[in-house]
Amino acid sequence: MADVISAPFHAGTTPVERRNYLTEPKGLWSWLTTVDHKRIGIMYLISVMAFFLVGGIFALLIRLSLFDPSHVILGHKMLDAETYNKVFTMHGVIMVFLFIIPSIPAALGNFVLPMMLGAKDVAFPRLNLASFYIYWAGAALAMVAIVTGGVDTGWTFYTPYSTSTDTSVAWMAMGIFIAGFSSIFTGLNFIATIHKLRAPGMGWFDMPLFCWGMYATALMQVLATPVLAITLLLMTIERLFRIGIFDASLGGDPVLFQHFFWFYSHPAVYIMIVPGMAIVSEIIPVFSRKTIFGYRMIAFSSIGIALIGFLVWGHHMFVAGQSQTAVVVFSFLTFLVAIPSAIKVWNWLATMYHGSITLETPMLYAISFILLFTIGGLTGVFLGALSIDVHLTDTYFVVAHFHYVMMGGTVMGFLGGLHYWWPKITGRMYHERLGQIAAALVFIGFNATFFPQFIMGGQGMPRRYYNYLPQFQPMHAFSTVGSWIIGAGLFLTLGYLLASLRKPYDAPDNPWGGKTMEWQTQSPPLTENFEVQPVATHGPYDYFPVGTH
Amino acid sequence: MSSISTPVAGAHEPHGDAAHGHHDPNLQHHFATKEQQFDTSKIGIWLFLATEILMFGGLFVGFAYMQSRFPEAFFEGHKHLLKVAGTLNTVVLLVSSFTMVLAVHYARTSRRKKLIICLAITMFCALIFLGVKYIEYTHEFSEGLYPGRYFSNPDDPTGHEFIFFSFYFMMTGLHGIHILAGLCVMAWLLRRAIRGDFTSNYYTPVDVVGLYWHLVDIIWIYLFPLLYLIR
Amino acid sequence: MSDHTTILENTHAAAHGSEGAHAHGPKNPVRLYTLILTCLLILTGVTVLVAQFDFGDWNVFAAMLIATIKASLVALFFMHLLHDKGMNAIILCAALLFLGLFLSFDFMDSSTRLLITPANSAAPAGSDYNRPKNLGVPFGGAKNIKPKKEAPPEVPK
Repeated sequence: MADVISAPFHAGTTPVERRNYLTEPKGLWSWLTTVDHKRIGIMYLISVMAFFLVGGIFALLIRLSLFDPSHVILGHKMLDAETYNKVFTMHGVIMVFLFIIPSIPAALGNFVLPMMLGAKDVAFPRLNLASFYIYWAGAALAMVAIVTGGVDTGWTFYTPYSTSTDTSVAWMAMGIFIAGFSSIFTGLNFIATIHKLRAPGMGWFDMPLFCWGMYATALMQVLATPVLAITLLLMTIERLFRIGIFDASLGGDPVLFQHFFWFYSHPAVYIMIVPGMAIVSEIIPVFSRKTIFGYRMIAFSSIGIALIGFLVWGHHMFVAGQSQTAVVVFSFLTFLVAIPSAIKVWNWLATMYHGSITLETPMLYAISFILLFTIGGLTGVFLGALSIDVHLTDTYFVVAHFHYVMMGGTVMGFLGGLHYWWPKITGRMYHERLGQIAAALVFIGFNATFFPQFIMGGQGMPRRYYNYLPQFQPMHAFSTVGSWIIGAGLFLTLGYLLASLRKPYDAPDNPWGGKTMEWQTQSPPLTENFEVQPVATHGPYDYFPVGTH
Repeated sequence: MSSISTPVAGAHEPHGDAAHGHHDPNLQHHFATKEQQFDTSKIGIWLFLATEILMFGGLFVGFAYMQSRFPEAFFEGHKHLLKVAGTLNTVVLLVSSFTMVLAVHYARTSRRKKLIICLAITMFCALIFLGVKYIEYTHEFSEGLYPGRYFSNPDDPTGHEFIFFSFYFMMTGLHGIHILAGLCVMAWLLRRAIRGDFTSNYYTPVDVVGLYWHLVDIIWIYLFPLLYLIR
Repeated sequence: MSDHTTILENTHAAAHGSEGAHAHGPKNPVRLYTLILTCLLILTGVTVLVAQFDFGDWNVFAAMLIATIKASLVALFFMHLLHDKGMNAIILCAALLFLGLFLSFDFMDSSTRLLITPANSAAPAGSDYNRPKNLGVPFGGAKNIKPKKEAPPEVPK
C-alpha cells in the first residue's frame, strides 16, 4: 500500500517544536478575527460545549424535580409548575438550536471537512466567521429571553399558546431566527466546498463518507432553515399584530403553524442525526481495520434520508386535526425513512464483521450509537404507525424515542468524533482508560434514564406534565438516578479532556491509522492544513481487502 | 472503492500564486485558479438565492392558504391598492433588472464608464421603487389600512380584509427590505467600480449582486399580480 | 466527477486569465437583453389586461402562468442560466421543487379536511369562516366532505 501523500513530513522534529495553527498568529484578537476554519471550528466547539453544559444542567434539574410527584427532595421544594414549564422549554430550545444543530457540522465538521477534502479552507472563510458571530447574536437574544422571564411554550412554539402567553416568546423566536442564519451559512459553505475544493484526484466517490453526510446535512440546512425563519417571523408578527394567520378565532389555522414549523423541524432532526451517522461511518472502518462495506449505499442513503426527510413532517401532527388523507400519506412516507437508515446500520455491521476490532473510546461511542440509534429508529417506526401513534402521542414514549435518537444517536456520535479527532485538534492524547470508563458511564446512564420512559409512556405517562400518578414514581426515580450517571460520565469526560491540554504535544500525526486526508498532515495542523497540496491516490478506506491477510 | 491514480502527483505547486512570482490580490489563497474561485462564488450565491426563494415561499404559501379561505376578503382588500403605482413599480424594476444585466456585461468587458452609468441607473430605479412604495403606504395608512389588529375599515363587507392587508404589508415589506439591502450593496459596488476594481479579470461582485437583484425582481413579478390584480 | 478534472486541468493553465470566460454565450448581448426587456414589458401589459376579465377559477392560473413566463425569461437570460454551469440551474430547481412540496402537502391537508361550520366554530356569526375552498388546486376533496362544483361565491364587482 503506497503512502497517500507525497509530502515528506519533518520526520526528525518532535511534536513540541512544530509550528501549527494554534500558536500562530498569537493573541486573542487573532482568534476573534480569524478566518481559519480550524480556529472557527474550535470557537464553535467551545460555544456548543458551553450550551451543552447549560442545557444539561436544565435537564438534571428537570429530572431531579421529577424524582417525586410532590417535587420535594430532601425537604426542599424543587421547581414549581411555572418554572418547570420554563425549564423544560429552555432545555429543549438550547439543546436543539444552540447545541445539537451546530455541534457536529459547525464545530467538528468545520474543523475536519476541508482537511478531509485536502483543501486549505472552506469555500467562503469570511462567511464562516460571520456564521459564528451570527450564532452568538442569536444565542445572546435567547439569553435575553431567559433573563426577561423565560419561555414556557416548549421548543415547538405551538400556536395559539405561543401567541397568547405573556412570556418572552418574541425574544426567543428572534434569537432562533438569527441563529438559523448561522446554520444556513455553514450549510451553504459546505456545499460549495465539497463541490469545488476537493483535492486533485478526489472524485465524488473518493470522498470520505463524513463528507457525504455533511453534504446531505447541508442540503437540508439550506433548503429547510429559511422556512423556520419565516415561521418564527410569522408567529412573532401574529403575537404583535394579530394578523390572523395562525389564530382560529380570527379565521386562521393553528394547524398551518404546525405545517410550517415541521416543514423545517422534521428535516432538522435529520440535520441533527445525519452528522452523527457520518461520524460513525468514519470511526467504524478505522477501528475495524477494514474497508467500509457498501460505500455507495451509505453515501446514497445519506442523500436519501435528506430527501425523504422533507416528505414526512405530517407525522408530528397525526392527532392535531390534519385531514385523514394527509395523515395516511404522511404515515406511509414515514416508513420509507426506515430504509436508508437501516441500510446504514447493516453496512456498519457488515464492516465490523471479520474486522480487527479494537475498542478505543471513539469505537465504544460508535457501537453505542448503533445500538441506541437502532432502538430509537425502530420506536420511530412504531410512532409512524397511525393507530399506535394515537395511543402514544404526547407521552414519555415520544420523549424516550426522541432522546434515543438525539442523545443516543447524535450526542454519542459527537462524543465519538470529539475523541476521534481530539489528537488532531489539540495535538494531545486524552487518557484512554478514563475515556473508556466515561463512555461506559454515559451508555449505562443513558439507558437507565430513558428506557424506563418507554415503559412509562406505554402506560400513559404524558410528556411535559408537572404532576404524575404515584404509580410512576419508582420509574421516575430510576430515570433520575440514570441522569446522574450520565452527568458523572460527561463531567469525567470534560475533566480528562481539559487535563490533556496541560500536556505538551504528544499526539502522533495518525494515532488511529486512519486513511483519510486529515490524518496525513501533522497534529495539530499547520494554518493552511498541508505543506503541499495533497493528491488523492486511493480511496478513504483502503485497508487490506477482506480475505487477503 | 476504486482508487484513482493521478498522473500529475507531485506536479502541483505548493502555493498557488507564489509559484507565479507575483501575487494577485483578487485570488484568495485557498483557490488554485480564478475560474475555480468564480464558479465557487456562483454556487454560493445561487444557494443563497435558494434560501431566499424558500423564505419568501413560506409567505406565498401562507398567502395562498388564507386566500383560499377568504377569497372575497382578499378580492375586496385588493381594491384599495393603487394599481397604477403597482404597475409603474413593475416597469421600474424590470428596467432596473435590464440595466443591472448590462452592468454585468460592461464589467465583464472592462468598460468602466458604462458600468458606472448602468449601476447608477439601477440604483436610481431602486430609489424610484421605494419612493412609489412610500406613496402607496402613506395612501393606505391614511385610509386606516394597517396590518393586523390596527386595521380599520368600517366599510369592510367581509370582516377579514385585515388578513389581506397583513399579507400585503408583510410581503411588500420584506421585499422592500431586500430592495434596500440591494441599494446598499450597489452603493458599495459603485464605489469600487469608480475606483476601477472591476475588469474582465475580476468582476465576481457585480455578477453576484446582479443575480441577487434579478431574484428580487422575480419575486416582485409574482407579487404584482397576486396582490394588485387578484380576482 | 467533472469538477475535479476541471481543477486538475486548470491548476496550471491560466491561473490569472479572465474568469468565467466560458460562461456566457450570446454574441451581441445588449441586443438580446433589450429584446428580453421588451418581452417583459409586453407581458406586464398582458397580465394587466388579462386581469380585466373574469375567467373564474382560471384567473389565478392565468396570472401565475404569465408571471412564470416572465420569471423564466429573467432567470434564463438576465441570470445567464441558459449558458451557465448546470449546477446553478439544479440549485434553483431544487429550491422550487421543495417549495412546491411545501405548498402541495399543505393543500393536500387543507383541501381534504372535514368541514368546520359556523355552528361549531368560534368565529363570529355571519363570517365566511366556513371551510377551505379548493383554490383550483388539483387535490380533490374527500367525497363525503362537500358537493362537487359548488358555484363560486358571488362577489360584488
